[in-house]
Amino acid sequence: MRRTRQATVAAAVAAALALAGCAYVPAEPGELPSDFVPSPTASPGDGPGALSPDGFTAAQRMTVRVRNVGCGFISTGTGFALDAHTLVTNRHVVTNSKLITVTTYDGRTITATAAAATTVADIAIITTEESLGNAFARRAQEDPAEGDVITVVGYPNGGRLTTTTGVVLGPTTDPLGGAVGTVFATSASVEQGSSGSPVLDESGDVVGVIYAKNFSNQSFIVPVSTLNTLLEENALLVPETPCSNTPMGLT
Amino acid sequence: MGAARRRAHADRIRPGRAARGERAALAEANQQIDLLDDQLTASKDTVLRLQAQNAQWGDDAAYAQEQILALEELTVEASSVANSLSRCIEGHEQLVTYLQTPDDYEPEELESFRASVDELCTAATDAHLDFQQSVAP
Repeated sequence: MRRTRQATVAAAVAAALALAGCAYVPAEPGELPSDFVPSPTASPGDGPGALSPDGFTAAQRMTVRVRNVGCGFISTGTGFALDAHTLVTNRHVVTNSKLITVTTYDGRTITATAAAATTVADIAIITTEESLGNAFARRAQEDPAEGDVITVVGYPNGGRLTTTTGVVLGPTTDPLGGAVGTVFATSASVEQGSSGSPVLDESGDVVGVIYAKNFSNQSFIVPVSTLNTLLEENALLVPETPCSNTPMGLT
Repeated sequence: MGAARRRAHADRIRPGRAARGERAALAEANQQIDLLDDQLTASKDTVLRLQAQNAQWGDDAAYAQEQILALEELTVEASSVANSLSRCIEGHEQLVTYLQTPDDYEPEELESFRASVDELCTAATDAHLDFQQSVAP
Protein backbone atom coordinates (compact mmCIF):
# COMPACT_ATOMS: atom_id res chain seq x y z
CA MET A 1 0.00 0.00 0.00
CA ARG A 2 2.72 2.42 0.99
CA ARG A 3 4.89 1.41 -2.00
CA THR A 4 1.92 1.98 -4.36
CA ARG A 5 1.38 5.58 -3.04
CA GLN A 6 5.07 6.41 -3.49
CA ALA A 7 4.98 5.13 -7.04
CA THR A 8 1.89 7.22 -7.79
CA VAL A 9 3.51 10.40 -6.40
CA ALA A 10 6.71 9.77 -8.37
CA ALA A 11 4.73 9.28 -11.55
CA ALA A 12 2.80 12.51 -10.94
CA VAL A 13 6.00 14.50 -10.30
CA ALA A 14 7.59 13.02 -13.42
CA ALA A 15 4.54 13.96 -15.48
CA ALA A 16 4.54 17.46 -14.03
CA LEU A 17 8.22 17.94 -14.76
CA ALA A 18 7.71 16.64 -18.26
CA LEU A 19 4.81 19.06 -18.85
CA ALA A 20 6.71 21.89 -17.29
CA GLY A 21 9.72 21.08 -19.42
CA CYS A 22 7.64 21.18 -22.57
CA ALA A 23 5.96 24.43 -21.52
CA TYR A 24 9.26 26.29 -21.00
CA VAL A 25 11.04 25.41 -24.20
CA PRO A 26 11.66 28.81 -25.78
CA ALA A 27 10.50 29.60 -29.27
CA GLU A 28 13.17 29.52 -31.92
CA PRO A 29 14.46 33.04 -32.62
CA GLY A 30 13.73 34.52 -36.02
CA GLU A 31 16.22 35.83 -38.53
CA LEU A 32 18.37 38.72 -37.31
CA PRO A 33 17.40 42.02 -38.96
CA SER A 34 19.99 43.22 -41.45
CA ASP A 35 18.76 46.84 -41.74
CA PHE A 36 18.80 47.82 -38.05
CA VAL A 37 20.23 51.27 -37.37
CA PRO A 38 20.62 52.08 -33.68
CA SER A 39 19.52 55.56 -32.58
CA PRO A 40 20.94 57.23 -29.47
CA THR A 41 18.46 57.82 -26.68
CA ALA A 42 20.54 60.59 -25.08
CA SER A 43 22.87 63.14 -26.57
CA PRO A 44 25.96 64.43 -24.76
CA GLY A 45 24.49 67.90 -25.26
CA ASP A 46 21.33 67.14 -23.31
CA GLY A 47 20.77 68.90 -20.03
CA PRO A 48 22.50 71.97 -18.59
CA GLY A 49 25.20 69.88 -16.95
CA ALA A 50 26.12 67.99 -20.06
CA LEU A 51 29.12 68.64 -22.23
CA SER A 52 28.94 69.50 -25.90
CA PRO A 53 31.52 68.25 -28.37
CA ASP A 54 33.45 71.50 -27.84
CA GLY A 55 33.77 70.84 -24.12
CA PHE A 56 31.51 73.62 -22.84
CA THR A 57 28.62 72.90 -20.51
CA ALA A 58 25.07 73.64 -21.55
CA ALA A 59 24.98 76.33 -18.84
CA GLN A 60 27.92 78.08 -20.50
CA ARG A 61 26.43 77.67 -23.96
CA MET A 62 23.06 79.13 -23.00
CA THR A 63 24.60 82.18 -21.29
CA VAL A 64 25.13 85.27 -23.44
CA ARG A 65 26.77 88.66 -22.97
CA VAL A 66 24.34 91.56 -23.48
CA ARG A 67 25.53 94.94 -24.83
CA ASN A 68 23.24 97.92 -24.48
CA VAL A 69 24.15 100.86 -26.67
CA GLY A 70 21.97 103.45 -25.00
CA CYS A 71 21.47 107.16 -25.22
CA GLY A 72 24.82 108.49 -24.07
CA PHE A 73 26.24 105.27 -22.66
CA ILE A 74 27.28 101.71 -23.42
CA SER A 75 26.76 99.05 -20.76
CA THR A 76 27.02 95.29 -20.57
CA GLY A 77 25.12 92.57 -18.76
CA THR A 78 24.37 88.88 -18.98
CA GLY A 79 21.40 86.86 -20.18
CA PHE A 80 20.44 83.26 -20.78
CA ALA A 81 18.48 81.55 -23.52
CA LEU A 82 15.01 80.19 -22.88
CA ASP A 83 14.72 78.98 -26.45
CA ALA A 84 16.39 79.64 -29.80
CA HIS A 85 15.01 83.18 -30.06
CA THR A 86 14.21 84.28 -26.49
CA LEU A 87 16.48 85.16 -23.60
CA VAL A 88 16.11 86.48 -20.07
CA THR A 89 18.09 89.32 -18.54
CA ASN A 90 17.50 92.20 -16.11
CA ARG A 91 15.30 95.18 -16.83
CA HIS A 92 18.08 97.57 -15.85
CA VAL A 93 20.37 95.91 -18.44
CA VAL A 94 18.09 96.89 -21.33
CA THR A 95 16.66 100.17 -20.00
CA ASN A 96 17.10 103.32 -22.09
CA SER A 97 18.54 101.34 -24.99
CA LYS A 98 19.01 102.30 -28.60
CA LEU A 99 20.52 99.02 -29.76
CA ILE A 100 20.88 95.70 -27.95
CA THR A 101 23.29 93.03 -29.16
CA VAL A 102 24.16 89.73 -27.55
CA THR A 103 27.34 87.71 -27.91
CA THR A 104 27.36 83.94 -27.44
CA TYR A 105 30.08 81.98 -25.61
CA ASP A 106 31.72 81.15 -28.95
CA GLY A 107 31.81 84.74 -30.20
CA ARG A 108 28.70 85.03 -32.37
CA THR A 109 27.11 88.48 -32.21
CA ILE A 110 23.34 88.68 -32.58
CA THR A 111 21.18 91.80 -32.73
CA ALA A 112 18.05 91.86 -30.59
CA THR A 113 14.81 92.60 -32.34
CA ALA A 114 12.75 93.55 -29.28
CA ALA A 115 12.83 93.79 -25.52
CA ALA A 116 10.04 93.71 -22.96
CA ALA A 117 10.31 94.39 -19.26
CA THR A 118 8.17 94.36 -16.16
CA THR A 119 7.84 96.65 -13.20
CA VAL A 120 7.21 93.90 -10.65
CA ALA A 121 10.77 92.57 -10.83
CA ASP A 122 14.12 93.38 -12.42
CA ILE A 123 13.44 91.05 -15.34
CA ALA A 124 13.35 91.63 -19.10
CA ILE A 125 12.83 89.37 -22.07
CA ILE A 126 14.80 89.89 -25.27
CA THR A 127 13.87 88.34 -28.60
CA THR A 128 16.17 87.74 -31.56
CA GLU A 129 15.63 86.77 -35.16
CA GLU A 130 18.87 84.81 -35.43
CA SER A 131 19.13 81.62 -33.42
CA LEU A 132 20.88 81.83 -30.06
CA GLY A 133 22.10 78.23 -30.29
CA ASN A 134 20.87 74.90 -29.05
CA ALA A 135 21.36 75.03 -25.28
CA PHE A 136 18.46 76.40 -23.29
CA ALA A 137 17.60 76.96 -19.64
CA ARG A 138 15.64 74.37 -17.73
CA ARG A 139 13.63 76.25 -15.13
CA ALA A 140 13.10 74.77 -11.69
CA GLN A 141 9.55 74.65 -10.38
CA GLU A 142 10.45 75.71 -6.86
CA ASP A 143 12.56 78.46 -5.37
CA PRO A 144 15.87 77.52 -3.77
CA ALA A 145 16.03 76.87 -0.03
CA GLU A 146 18.41 78.40 2.48
CA GLY A 147 21.73 76.56 2.35
CA ASP A 148 21.35 75.30 -1.21
CA VAL A 149 24.55 75.35 -3.25
CA ILE A 150 24.23 77.46 -6.38
CA THR A 151 26.30 78.21 -9.47
CA VAL A 152 26.29 81.55 -11.29
CA VAL A 153 27.40 81.77 -14.93
CA GLY A 154 27.98 85.21 -16.38
CA TYR A 155 30.20 87.93 -17.79
CA PRO A 156 31.43 89.99 -14.79
CA ASN A 157 32.71 93.42 -15.87
CA GLY A 158 31.86 92.50 -19.45
CA GLY A 159 34.91 90.22 -19.51
CA ARG A 160 35.30 86.47 -19.84
CA LEU A 161 32.53 83.96 -19.29
CA THR A 162 32.95 83.03 -15.64
CA THR A 163 31.42 80.42 -13.35
CA THR A 164 31.20 81.08 -9.61
CA THR A 165 29.55 79.19 -6.78
CA GLY A 166 27.85 80.19 -3.57
CA VAL A 167 25.15 79.32 -1.12
CA VAL A 168 21.60 80.63 -0.79
CA LEU A 169 21.47 82.77 2.36
CA GLY A 170 17.69 83.00 2.43
CA PRO A 171 14.73 85.13 1.37
CA THR A 172 14.79 88.86 1.94
CA THR A 173 13.20 92.06 0.71
CA ASP A 174 14.56 93.84 -2.34
CA PRO A 175 17.50 96.00 -1.16
CA LEU A 176 16.78 98.39 -4.04
CA GLY A 177 13.11 98.59 -3.13
CA GLY A 178 11.79 98.09 -6.64
CA ALA A 179 10.66 94.48 -6.64
CA VAL A 180 7.27 93.22 -5.57
CA GLY A 181 7.58 90.14 -3.39
CA THR A 182 10.54 88.25 -2.05
CA VAL A 183 14.04 88.04 -3.46
CA PHE A 184 16.88 85.82 -2.27
CA ALA A 185 20.34 86.72 -0.98
CA THR A 186 23.30 84.49 -1.88
CA SER A 187 27.00 84.36 -1.08
CA ALA A 188 27.99 84.09 -4.76
CA SER A 189 30.37 86.88 -5.71
CA VAL A 190 29.22 88.92 -8.70
CA GLU A 191 30.28 92.14 -10.40
CA GLN A 192 28.81 94.75 -12.68
CA GLY A 193 28.10 92.94 -15.92
CA SER A 194 26.87 89.86 -14.04
CA SER A 195 23.36 91.30 -13.98
CA GLY A 196 21.00 88.83 -15.64
CA SER A 197 23.19 85.81 -14.95
CA PRO A 198 21.39 82.50 -14.50
CA VAL A 199 21.58 80.97 -11.03
CA LEU A 200 21.67 77.18 -11.23
CA ASP A 201 21.05 74.55 -8.61
CA GLU A 202 23.09 71.37 -8.29
CA SER A 203 21.07 69.61 -10.97
CA GLY A 204 21.59 72.45 -13.43
CA ASP A 205 18.08 73.90 -13.22
CA VAL A 206 17.70 77.69 -13.17
CA VAL A 207 16.49 78.78 -9.73
CA GLY A 208 16.95 82.52 -10.13
CA VAL A 209 18.43 85.52 -11.94
CA ILE A 210 21.19 87.73 -10.51
CA TYR A 211 20.22 91.41 -10.35
CA ALA A 212 22.11 93.19 -7.56
CA LYS A 213 24.89 93.01 -4.99
CA ASN A 214 25.69 94.83 -1.76
CA PHE A 215 28.84 96.13 -0.09
CA SER A 216 29.18 92.86 1.86
CA ASN A 217 29.68 91.12 -1.49
CA GLN A 218 26.37 89.32 -1.24
CA SER A 219 24.37 88.95 -4.41
CA PHE A 220 20.61 89.12 -4.84
CA ILE A 221 18.48 87.04 -7.16
CA VAL A 222 15.00 87.22 -8.58
CA PRO A 223 13.62 83.77 -7.70
CA VAL A 224 12.51 81.37 -10.41
CA SER A 225 8.91 81.44 -9.14
CA THR A 226 8.73 85.12 -10.11
CA LEU A 227 10.31 84.37 -13.49
CA ASN A 228 7.87 81.52 -14.11
CA THR A 229 4.92 83.75 -13.24
CA LEU A 230 6.13 86.48 -15.59
CA LEU A 231 6.58 84.04 -18.43
CA GLU A 232 3.08 82.69 -17.90
CA GLU A 233 1.51 86.17 -17.62
CA ASN A 234 2.58 87.96 -20.78
CA ALA A 235 0.49 90.99 -19.84
CA LEU A 236 3.04 91.80 -17.13
CA LEU A 237 5.74 92.32 -19.76
CA VAL A 238 5.63 95.71 -21.48
CA PRO A 239 7.65 96.37 -24.66
CA GLU A 240 10.60 98.69 -24.08
CA THR A 241 10.61 101.87 -26.15
CA PRO A 242 14.00 102.68 -27.70
CA CYS A 243 15.43 105.97 -26.49
CA SER A 244 15.83 108.84 -28.92
CA ASN A 245 19.17 109.19 -30.62
CA THR A 246 21.48 111.08 -28.30
CA PRO A 247 25.02 110.12 -29.18
CA MET A 248 27.67 110.01 -26.52
CA GLY A 249 29.58 113.24 -26.03
CA LEU A 250 26.57 115.52 -26.29
CA THR A 251 24.92 114.71 -22.99
CA MET B 1 59.84 15.56 -16.17
CA GLY B 2 61.94 18.69 -16.45
CA ALA B 3 60.03 19.82 -19.54
CA ALA B 4 56.71 19.38 -17.79
CA ARG B 5 57.93 21.46 -14.88
CA ARG B 6 59.05 24.21 -17.23
CA ARG B 7 55.66 24.20 -18.94
CA ALA B 8 53.91 24.41 -15.59
CA HIS B 9 56.16 27.31 -14.60
CA ALA B 10 55.46 29.07 -17.89
CA ASP B 11 51.72 28.56 -17.40
CA ARG B 12 52.01 30.20 -13.98
CA ILE B 13 53.90 33.29 -15.13
CA ARG B 14 51.98 33.91 -18.39
CA PRO B 15 48.96 35.63 -16.69
CA GLY B 16 51.33 37.87 -14.75
CA ARG B 17 53.03 39.02 -17.93
CA ALA B 18 49.66 39.65 -19.55
CA ALA B 19 48.55 41.71 -16.55
CA ARG B 20 51.74 43.78 -16.69
CA GLY B 21 51.11 44.40 -20.39
CA GLU B 22 47.54 45.48 -19.68
CA ARG B 23 48.71 47.81 -16.92
CA ALA B 24 51.24 49.42 -19.23
CA ALA B 25 48.61 49.89 -21.92
CA LEU B 26 46.25 51.37 -19.32
CA ALA B 27 48.91 53.75 -18.07
CA GLU B 28 49.58 54.87 -21.65
CA ALA B 29 45.87 55.38 -22.27
CA ASN B 30 45.60 57.42 -19.07
CA GLN B 31 48.49 59.59 -20.19
CA GLN B 32 46.70 60.14 -23.51
CA ILE B 33 43.52 61.08 -21.65
CA ASP B 34 45.45 63.54 -19.45
CA LEU B 35 47.04 65.05 -22.53
CA LEU B 36 43.67 65.38 -24.27
CA ASP B 37 42.21 66.92 -21.10
CA ASP B 38 44.99 69.49 -21.08
CA GLN B 39 44.45 70.22 -24.76
CA LEU B 40 40.70 70.60 -24.26
CA THR B 41 41.24 72.93 -21.31
CA ALA B 42 43.69 75.02 -23.34
CA SER B 43 41.29 75.12 -26.30
CA LYS B 44 38.38 76.20 -24.12
CA ASP B 45 40.55 78.85 -22.51
CA THR B 46 41.49 80.15 -25.96
CA VAL B 47 37.84 80.22 -27.08
CA LEU B 48 36.83 82.20 -23.97
CA ARG B 49 39.77 84.58 -24.33
CA LEU B 50 39.02 85.23 -28.00
CA GLN B 51 35.31 85.59 -27.26
CA ALA B 52 36.07 88.20 -24.59
CA GLN B 53 38.43 90.05 -26.97
CA ASN B 54 35.83 89.92 -29.71
CA ALA B 55 33.17 91.29 -27.37
CA GLN B 56 35.48 94.07 -26.16
CA TRP B 57 36.26 95.03 -29.74
CA GLY B 58 32.52 95.08 -30.35
CA ASP B 59 32.18 97.50 -27.43
CA ASP B 60 34.98 99.64 -28.82
CA ALA B 61 33.40 99.60 -32.28
CA ALA B 62 30.01 100.56 -30.81
CA TYR B 63 31.68 103.37 -28.85
CA ALA B 64 33.50 104.56 -31.99
CA GLN B 65 30.24 104.43 -33.93
CA GLU B 66 28.57 106.59 -31.28
CA GLN B 67 31.49 109.02 -31.45
CA ILE B 68 31.10 109.21 -35.22
CA LEU B 69 27.38 109.91 -34.82
CA ALA B 70 28.19 112.61 -32.27
CA LEU B 71 30.72 114.20 -34.60
CA GLU B 72 28.27 114.06 -37.48
CA GLU B 73 25.66 115.84 -35.36
CA LEU B 74 28.30 118.33 -34.30
CA THR B 75 29.20 118.98 -37.92
CA VAL B 76 25.57 119.55 -38.85
CA GLU B 77 25.14 121.90 -35.89
CA ALA B 78 28.34 123.80 -36.73
CA SER B 79 27.23 124.12 -40.32
CA SER B 80 23.88 125.49 -39.18
CA VAL B 81 25.54 128.05 -36.89
CA ALA B 82 27.94 129.09 -39.66
CA ASN B 83 25.00 129.50 -42.03
CA SER B 84 23.15 131.70 -39.51
CA LEU B 85 26.21 133.90 -38.99
CA SER B 86 26.69 134.15 -42.74
CA ARG B 87 23.08 135.26 -43.19
CA CYS B 88 23.60 137.83 -40.43
CA ILE B 89 26.63 139.27 -42.28
CA GLU B 90 24.72 139.29 -45.56
CA GLY B 91 21.89 141.15 -43.85
CA HIS B 92 24.27 143.75 -42.51
CA GLU B 93 25.88 144.20 -45.92
CA GLN B 94 22.45 144.62 -47.48
CA LEU B 95 21.54 147.17 -44.81
CA VAL B 96 24.72 149.12 -45.52
CA THR B 97 23.82 149.13 -49.22
CA TYR B 98 20.33 150.45 -48.44
CA LEU B 99 21.72 153.12 -46.14
CA GLN B 100 24.01 154.41 -48.88
CA THR B 101 20.92 155.57 -50.74
CA PRO B 102 18.41 156.18 -47.94
CA ASP B 103 16.26 158.45 -50.05
CA ASP B 104 15.32 155.54 -52.26
CA TYR B 105 13.46 153.84 -49.36
CA GLU B 106 10.75 154.63 -46.89
CA PRO B 107 12.21 155.17 -43.38
CA GLU B 108 9.75 152.60 -41.98
CA GLU B 109 10.97 150.03 -44.48
CA LEU B 110 14.59 150.64 -43.52
CA GLU B 111 13.75 150.44 -39.83
CA SER B 112 11.86 147.19 -40.34
CA PHE B 113 14.74 145.71 -42.32
CA ARG B 114 17.24 146.76 -39.66
CA ALA B 115 15.07 145.17 -36.94
CA SER B 116 14.87 141.85 -38.81
CA VAL B 117 18.64 141.85 -39.38
CA ASP B 118 19.15 142.49 -35.67
CA GLU B 119 16.79 139.62 -34.84
CA LEU B 120 18.59 137.29 -37.25
CA CYS B 121 22.00 138.24 -35.84
CA THR B 122 20.81 137.81 -32.24
CA ALA B 123 19.56 134.32 -33.05
CA ALA B 124 22.82 133.51 -34.86
CA THR B 125 24.90 134.77 -31.94
CA ASP B 126 22.82 132.75 -29.46
CA ALA B 127 23.20 129.61 -31.61
CA HIS B 128 26.94 130.24 -31.80
CA LEU B 129 27.19 130.58 -28.02
CA ASP B 130 25.16 127.43 -27.47
CA PHE B 131 27.40 125.58 -29.87
CA GLN B 132 30.55 126.83 -28.17
CA GLN B 133 29.20 125.68 -24.84
CA SER B 134 28.24 122.25 -26.20
CA VAL B 135 31.78 121.60 -27.49
CA ALA B 136 33.53 123.09 -24.47
CA PRO B 137 35.58 120.43 -22.65
